Amino acid sequence: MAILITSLVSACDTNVQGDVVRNAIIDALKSDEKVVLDFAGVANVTSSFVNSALIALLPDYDIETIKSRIVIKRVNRQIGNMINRRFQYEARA
Amino acid sequence: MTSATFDMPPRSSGTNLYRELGKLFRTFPERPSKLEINFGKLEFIPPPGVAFLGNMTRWFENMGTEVWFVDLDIENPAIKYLDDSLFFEHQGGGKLDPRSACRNTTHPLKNVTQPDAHGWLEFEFIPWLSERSGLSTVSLAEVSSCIKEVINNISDHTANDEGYVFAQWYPKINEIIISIADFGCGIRENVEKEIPECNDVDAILWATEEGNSSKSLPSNRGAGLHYLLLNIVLGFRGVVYITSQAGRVKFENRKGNLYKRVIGNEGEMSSGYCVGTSIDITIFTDNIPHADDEENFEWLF
Repeated sequence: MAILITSLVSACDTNVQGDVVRNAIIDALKSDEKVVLDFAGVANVTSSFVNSALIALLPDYDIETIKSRIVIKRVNRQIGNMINRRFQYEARA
Repeated sequence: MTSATFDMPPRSSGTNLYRELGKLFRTFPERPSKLEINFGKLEFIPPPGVAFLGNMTRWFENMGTEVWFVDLDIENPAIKYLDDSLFFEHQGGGKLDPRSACRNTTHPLKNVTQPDAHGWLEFEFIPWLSERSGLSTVSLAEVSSCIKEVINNISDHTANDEGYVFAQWYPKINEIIISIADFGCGIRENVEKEIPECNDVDAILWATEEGNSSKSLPSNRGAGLHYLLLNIVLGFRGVVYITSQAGRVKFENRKGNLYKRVIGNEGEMSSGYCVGTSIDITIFTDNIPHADDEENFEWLF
């Protein structure tokens, strides 16, 4: 299942916008399919957004599940680095 | 009625204004009811000084102090720069000279309040910087995100939700200076929830460590200021000053490592003062690598 981020939120700047995306991911993960997060048209993301959209999944889904079930596509350098850095830190913490 | 004078230093940098305001507060521990800001000795005011001055002026006015600008000579190039930067117009007094106009290399003082701040950044400021620097907006994504992190901090951690941004582009050396100031409670008030009785410098240093969060919002995870330093200082070899109340710390890149220098006296009022928090960012845009619109993503942990 594909989730086009821009169909859900106008930007990826805030916790509130991250909450909207996380809820869509949780719904999609209920099926057995991979979940494709498509960032086409997103200029950049903040840590607040990534924390709420993705890191907040961690209490309910372990990191290996997230890596194997969620596919991230059409990101620029900033978005890719931010997502990886936030997960790298949380994985160490 | 108590009346005080604030003499703009000849070189009104962020550091010098911070020191001068510290002197004022030592002389007037109780806020004066009238404040004259004297521009007579001003010779030069770099961008952090403009944001600091605008923020300080607004804070005094909000606290009920009557603020007057005195000894303004439009023939003085520093005053002309402020007028061209629309500083006096922004402060509500109109331009000193009706012919003054914002220079191509200046982004005038902007009041950034949620929810409009992110849109302004994305659709006005970053395109402005892209045009001047020759870098694509995608290549400037980290710069945009870092400023959003600071704006989110203002929104998450301060009660008044109000901040100011001022920027100056230096085309001969491809340098941008971006100053963001707010007159909220400062960093220490929030950090004290985690480290009771810390001073302002301790609070700044603590707040810039990854994972340290005062949890002003339950979802905060202490990434924003760390991300700013990681990208601007370590990634792009820029310089960041964080000033919050009596604390002022300079962050720079020395041989690939983050170097922190405390300005003044360990966060005591004797060294200086800033109302709220100011963050000054300097980047040589030649140090920002080109980024493609899309890159392949791999999980890296």
